[in-house]
Amino acid sequence: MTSAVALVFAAATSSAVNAAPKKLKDIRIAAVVKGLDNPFFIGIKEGIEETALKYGIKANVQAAPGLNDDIGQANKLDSLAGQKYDCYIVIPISSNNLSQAVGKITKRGKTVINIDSPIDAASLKAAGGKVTSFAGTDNFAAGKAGGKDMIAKIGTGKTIGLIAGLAGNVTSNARIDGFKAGALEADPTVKFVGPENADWDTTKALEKANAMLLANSNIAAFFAANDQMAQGISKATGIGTKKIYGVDGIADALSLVKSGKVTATISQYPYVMGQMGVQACIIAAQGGKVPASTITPYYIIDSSNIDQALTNKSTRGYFPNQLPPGKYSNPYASKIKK
Amino acid sequence: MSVNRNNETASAEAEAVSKSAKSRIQETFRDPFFWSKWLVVVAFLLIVLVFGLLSPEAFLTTYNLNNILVASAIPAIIVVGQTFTVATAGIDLSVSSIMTFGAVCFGLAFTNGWPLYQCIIFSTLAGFVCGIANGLIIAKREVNDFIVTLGMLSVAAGAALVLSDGKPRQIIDERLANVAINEFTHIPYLMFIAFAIVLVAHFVLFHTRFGTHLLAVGGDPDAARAMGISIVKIKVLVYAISGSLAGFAAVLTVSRIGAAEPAANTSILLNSVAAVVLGGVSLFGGRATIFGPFVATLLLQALSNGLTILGVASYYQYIAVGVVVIISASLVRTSNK
Amino acid sequence: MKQVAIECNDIRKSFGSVEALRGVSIKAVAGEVTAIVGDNGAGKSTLIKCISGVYDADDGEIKINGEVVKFVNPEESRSFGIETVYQTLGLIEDLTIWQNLFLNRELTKGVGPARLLDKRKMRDRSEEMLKNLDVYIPSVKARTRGLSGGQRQAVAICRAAGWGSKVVIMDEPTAALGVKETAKVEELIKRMKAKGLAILLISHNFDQVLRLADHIWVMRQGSVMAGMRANETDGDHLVSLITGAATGGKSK
Repeated sequence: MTSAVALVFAAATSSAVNAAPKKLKDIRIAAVVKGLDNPFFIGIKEGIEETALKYGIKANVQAAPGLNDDIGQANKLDSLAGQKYDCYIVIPISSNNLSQAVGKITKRGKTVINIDSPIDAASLKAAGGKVTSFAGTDNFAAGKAGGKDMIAKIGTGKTIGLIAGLAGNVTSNARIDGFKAGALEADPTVKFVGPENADWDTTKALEKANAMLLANSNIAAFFAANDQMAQGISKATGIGTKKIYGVDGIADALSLVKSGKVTATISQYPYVMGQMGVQACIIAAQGGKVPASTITPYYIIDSSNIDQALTNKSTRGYFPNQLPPGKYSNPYASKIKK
Repeated sequence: MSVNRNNETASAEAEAVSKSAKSRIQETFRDPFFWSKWLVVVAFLLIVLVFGLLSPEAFLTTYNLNNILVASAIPAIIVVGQTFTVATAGIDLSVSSIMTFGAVCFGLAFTNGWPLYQCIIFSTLAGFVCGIANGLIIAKREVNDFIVTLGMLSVAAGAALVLSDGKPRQIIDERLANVAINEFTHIPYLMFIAFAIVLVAHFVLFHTRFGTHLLAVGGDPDAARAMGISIVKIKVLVYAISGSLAGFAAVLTVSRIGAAEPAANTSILLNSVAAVVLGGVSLFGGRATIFGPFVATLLLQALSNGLTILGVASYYQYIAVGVVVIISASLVRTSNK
Repeated sequence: MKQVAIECNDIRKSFGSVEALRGVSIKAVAGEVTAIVGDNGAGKSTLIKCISGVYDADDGEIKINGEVVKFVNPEESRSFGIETVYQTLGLIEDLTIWQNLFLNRELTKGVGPARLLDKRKMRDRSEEMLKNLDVYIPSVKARTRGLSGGQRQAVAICRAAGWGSKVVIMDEPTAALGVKETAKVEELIKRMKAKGLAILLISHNFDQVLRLADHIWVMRQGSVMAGMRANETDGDHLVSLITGAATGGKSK
């Protein structure tokens, strides 16, 4: 009799690991982002920490030892996976490197929320991992909007230099491909040079831009897959008044847009991503139904709306665009139980 | 006169015998080599103790200790190679690039349908070729090892990008995933593999002629040459070993991150040198241990793991690792010549 | 009649336009200490290096125990029984004494690639080697780093003497040693003599040369100026031969 009770009890608890809804204050959240040497991810960290705090939760946000350390990041997630967190928010460095770690977390019945950079579905499946929700920018759409906007600013029949991030990175590829699509749609005669890889790095982007300008003096503008690289391009020899577009919307880029050295940045809202990540975690921990995926907002910030963007400072001043200048939809906020 | 001498030697011998036990213990504690070997074990136990006390329910679980072993396995293999090169008073700065190059070669073979074991051999061979190149240039043309392996760092990294066209290849294979994820009696398969390599390396270094000659070349190349040891042969072999181990470790890396990444740039190189120094191997060559750097690797991973669990911000983790390395290295140095 | 262990006839060696050895002929007898003296640049080191295989002589012949031998490197020279105790000793500090004694001659057990070092055998033989020449070292397992200068010299000499050698070359063996240790090393050299080795000794210390040597060759500017039994000369005479103030008769 007692053994039967024990069996039932065991079955109930093992299947109900995540089913028993938790009180808000009992929810524990951990996050692993990419390197903290990029203000974008500091913005995400802030979004996660501050949002969690608003709900009375303390989140443990860890970062990979470096922007390119994919094994190091997997190790970090593994370390956290063994702890008693209810939910893990992850941004993988590559589309595959965290799949196994996520698989382990799923096996323990915990929730994983993926933000910003998507984890590859096939490798996730192979590792037995499950991502409850994805919230991120549609990088292709963002790039496309940038491409269209660029043509509007430089005119038709021009040549545009393309500078990409880490080789083979999904985010970088999506932005570059989107940009090209948007530009071609606006002007089928536009020409491109590159994309050259600069590993998300400011100095490398500067060197690449120098080389590209030397080889192609008729480049009219540059598109960089992130702001740190756009920064580098703005210092290239012979850049003159050529137009530069970046992506992310970090503080340095906004200053450059204000001063005119960078034409525009397709700003993302990492704070919002972090916020949504936490909210999704809470819904899951409370036993609610989490929306499968959400597109986070992006806005093109140029000289026309730079002042408005600059007034929106965060509490720590790292990432001024705490919240987008316009409305955006957040399907998570409404689902949280008090 | 000979009688006097016999008396001298006899009394000296007697003296020695009576002192032997006590002085042998004293000698052991005074031997800097003893300390350089055991310091890292002490440090490791200390770290486990500290983290265990600070968060026992989190740090000392089998799951977590398992994590530390998994995280240590690949670096441990690289560290074996680095120990061999440093023991000859050299260094291999190209290990992480060779690993990337090996991974790309693996990816190429795998996506072209080669059987798994052939892909593994191909990756290891790729590392071997890079290693031999290193060794030949360093030994035969007598170019500084720092410079040569630094050059190879770029060459191998570039070759990886060229061969892969900058694109990572996804590798989904059940057997590989099995090795990366699973365990036997709570010890991960990855660690079994790494430890097996550590054992073989220890055996080679301390129980074969090659090992003795390696230490001789590191300790005093002129003396070694005078006794007829071929410095060229030893150096070429040592760098070939380091390269091959990096090529093999590439396979394990691919199994862990599920893809052959061409631009993967990990902290594995710096950690390997840190572990070698922490483990009591002299950068000047000639004095080495295999288990020291192995324990040092465990130590560095345990440190990172423990700090992550305690929620220490990543910034402080960099500092912590650096401080541990500097303190340990300076403690060992004060007992050096 | 003692055997001529090593005989050099008309050795010539040039480096570019510099003639280091201009036809040097010397002999050394087994069981004797044969000293080679001369000023800096006289060619002593070059001659020694030709004998030990470090240099390849341009011309001339070398005979070991009456047989002509040819070698192009130290390994081959060693195979004919010529051993050298270098000024820097050639001991590896972090290796143990037995490891140094057996360097590149390690004993192994087992077959093929799985050949293990036979450490016990090497340790035992090391103890024998040292005992053979009455050298006292507390433990062959100790690292060479911990030995005194004299003890290291003794180990290096035992290594040179212990491998079936016929000729042992010593270049300034006691130059860096104190009085007491020099005396011990000289005793060791005498014991080697008694074992029938031919010892070629290079030394600037005339007192030592006159103490130890049975035969002395004087070199000057790449040639042998004189050769004589040690009891036929003295310090002043040697100096005058070296500086060229006097010319002695050739080899006896």
